Amino acid sequence: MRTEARKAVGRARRSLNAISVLSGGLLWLAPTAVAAGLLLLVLEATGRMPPGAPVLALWGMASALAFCGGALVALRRRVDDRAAAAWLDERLGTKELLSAALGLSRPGRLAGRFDGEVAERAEAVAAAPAAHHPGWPLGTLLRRALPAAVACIALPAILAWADPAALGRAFRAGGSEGSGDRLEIAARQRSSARPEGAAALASGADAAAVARFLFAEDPAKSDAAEHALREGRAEEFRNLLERAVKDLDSRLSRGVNDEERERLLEEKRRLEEALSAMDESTWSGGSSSGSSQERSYSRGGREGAEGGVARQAPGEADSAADSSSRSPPRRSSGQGEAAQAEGGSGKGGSQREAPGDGDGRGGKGPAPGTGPGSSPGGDVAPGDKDPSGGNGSPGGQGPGSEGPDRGGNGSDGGGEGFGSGPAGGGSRPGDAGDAGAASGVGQARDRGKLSPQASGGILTVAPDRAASFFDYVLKGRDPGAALPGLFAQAARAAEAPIANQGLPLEYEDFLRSYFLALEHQLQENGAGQESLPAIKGAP
Amino acid sequence: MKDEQPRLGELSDALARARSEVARVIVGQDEAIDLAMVALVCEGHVLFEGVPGIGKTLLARSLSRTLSLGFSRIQFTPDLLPADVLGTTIISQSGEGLDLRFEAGPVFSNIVLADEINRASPKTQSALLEAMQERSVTLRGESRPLPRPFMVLATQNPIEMEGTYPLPEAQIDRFLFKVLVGQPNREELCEILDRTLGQELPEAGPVLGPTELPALQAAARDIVVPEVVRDRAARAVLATQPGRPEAPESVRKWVRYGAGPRGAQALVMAAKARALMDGRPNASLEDLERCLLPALRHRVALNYEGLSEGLNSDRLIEEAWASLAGAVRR
Repeated sequence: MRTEARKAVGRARRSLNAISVLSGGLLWLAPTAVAAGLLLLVLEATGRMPPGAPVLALWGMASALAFCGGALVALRRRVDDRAAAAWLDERLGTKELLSAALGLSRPGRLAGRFDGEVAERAEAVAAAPAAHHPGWPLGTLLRRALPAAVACIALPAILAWADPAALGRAFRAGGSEGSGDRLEIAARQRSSARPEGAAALASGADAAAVARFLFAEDPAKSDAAEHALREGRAEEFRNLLERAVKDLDSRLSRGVNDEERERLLEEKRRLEEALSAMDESTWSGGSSSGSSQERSYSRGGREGAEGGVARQAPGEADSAADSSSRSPPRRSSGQGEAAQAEGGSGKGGSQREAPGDGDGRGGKGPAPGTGPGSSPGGDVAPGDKDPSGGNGSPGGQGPGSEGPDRGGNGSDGGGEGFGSGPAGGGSRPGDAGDAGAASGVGQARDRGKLSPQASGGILTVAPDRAASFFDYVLKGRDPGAALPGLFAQAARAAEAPIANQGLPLEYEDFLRSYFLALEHQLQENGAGQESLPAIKGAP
Repeated sequence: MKDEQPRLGELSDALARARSEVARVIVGQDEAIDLAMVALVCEGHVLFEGVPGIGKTLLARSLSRTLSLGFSRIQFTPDLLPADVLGTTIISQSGEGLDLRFEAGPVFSNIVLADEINRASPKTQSALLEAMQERSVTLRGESRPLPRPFMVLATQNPIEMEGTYPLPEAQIDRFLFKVLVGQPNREELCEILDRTLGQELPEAGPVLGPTELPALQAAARDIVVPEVVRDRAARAVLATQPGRPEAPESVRKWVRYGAGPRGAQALVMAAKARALMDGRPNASLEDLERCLLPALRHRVALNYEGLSEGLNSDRLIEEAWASLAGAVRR
């Protein structure tokens, strides 16, 4: 093979290899840059990235390594003279003339009759201008370079300019909505009128949601808080809050920029609200009576709910504790140990019974089965027809049941418990045995107090901040507003996720039971039946 | 010595003239004429498959006339015997008495047209085996060389298969090409009518002398085959074998056995002859591709599944070739 043809083939080989190496590097660079950028973005957004970590440098390093890897792989697959000659032949349409010319110098090959003619023709082809500019396959390179270039430009821009805190919040919001935990969202909506921290605690949202809400910027603390909440370690939770507040104070005192200061102050405000909410017992479910002012979330609460034997208050006929519930065993914030775990068959349930039916059978309450079981029942004065006195809470005969009113009522046995039925028995003297026997597992929710102040056909509700049972309905509204109208709105709002099958079954049961209980109370207090929408599936 | 040999351009011109002369008689069938010329240059045998009356015999006769070669025709029938093809020893009266004399059969010719070869019995068909491969005939322990060049042009009818004996694989592998001769189209048919229904029938005249064909055949063997062409031919042949990793899925599924070394030889040799006809000193991938189907279609046997699916080997060979081209591009 003569000089020109060999030169042309060598030139083609070098160019093809350069394009191949560049192309290979870019091919690896593009996906790696995107993946690494997204990973770093997520780490940054979720706070898992150590403070001060050189994010851009890490991203650049990963991208550069990918480029080098791709280039290396392409380099190992580089074309030789033979492949370059074949490519050039195809490009120039020379029908393998250059390849044939290249093969003439193959070792061990016998000289042929047409070798000279092949070499001569190849030389002529190689000397032509077309061989110098055969049209390099730059299209391939460009196609591969485009996504890489976009990734290289866009991701550093995002990493450099995006606010990690905002991204983190967006990330979490997206994640929680994606998980379908709509109750958490609903809880946030419900509690929107309150200070955020307190609302989070009182909202009934699950432990994870509360913890994430309070410690949005610190996953470790969030996890610790979640565990504390789940396991009922209120003191530990309080300590976490207090420590977090101190930390924030410390960081604020060190001097930060305005944006950071604002963020820290906001976080501190949330935590302080949560602390104050705990102090106000709006969430810890401090019992309304008796000695049980235990604020801690106690395991005993759940144990009491599950293990106790319903102890009937004097005068109770027979408190049917055989109801069952599917309420989830969530945060048992009842009084637990204080409740001595005597009551509570552990079968909280969505039971209801017409109050005051005289035989005291199973005040079927929509015992949600979770929650602080403050039982206002103990406060009920004799003769009051207190719908919320539906103690019936075999789930833990709290001290409330042993309170001073106990003897007088003879029915408000359920000082505190789990799954106490709100529509438990009335507590009118002589209504022996109106004990709501709805026993529950899990969250014993404070049903609040509905003071019948009907006048002119309008039912109003006493502004009892300690009562959370009506929170969903009354949140952010005038406590003196007409309840049936509010109830209708709330029921419709609650029905939507049920109809959409967007709720887990246990929450669905809970919601239905809740509104059934409300409806029952409203009826009992004289509200118009026609104004009450029915919840689908409700009996 | 090399300077005395004709140059490449002269050789290709001679072939072009011969081809034109044959094409003057045969209307249409360009591909069949080209392949017959290629086979002639390669010293290969051709199996024509087509319905009767489309010019197969005329093509063979025209070729022999154009190249000034001897021509004989054997009509294969079920009662044809090997001696009818190869020849026999007869007792003859000479001046000194009786003598045994070998009477050569029609196979002793340059171009032998074996018409409807699949109608003869396997025994008679196999009589051609040695002649085709060794270019000699052995009778009564005596080997007799056939005249050179020697070429068998066999025909077989794809219809009327009753009473036929399909060629055994060993014999069919000896054909360089299997050419499918199709029916002429309307224009060609009109041309045939014009040419054949007049007072004078066109006949091919001699274009090349008896010494020129061997020169062409020698030149074809000197054509340079680049590595890329040689490798592609080898890979193409391997890709028709169902057990090979190069084979595409369709070949693995429907092929009983594929082409062998004779197929690869035929492919490359035909590519060389094509290049010579085009006046190029080297074979190209295009030459290879143009000879792919005629050189391999009779060497690829379908299994029962493939036959029941109504497939033919052409499609599978094309798929194998396409898979190779794709692999190269990748």
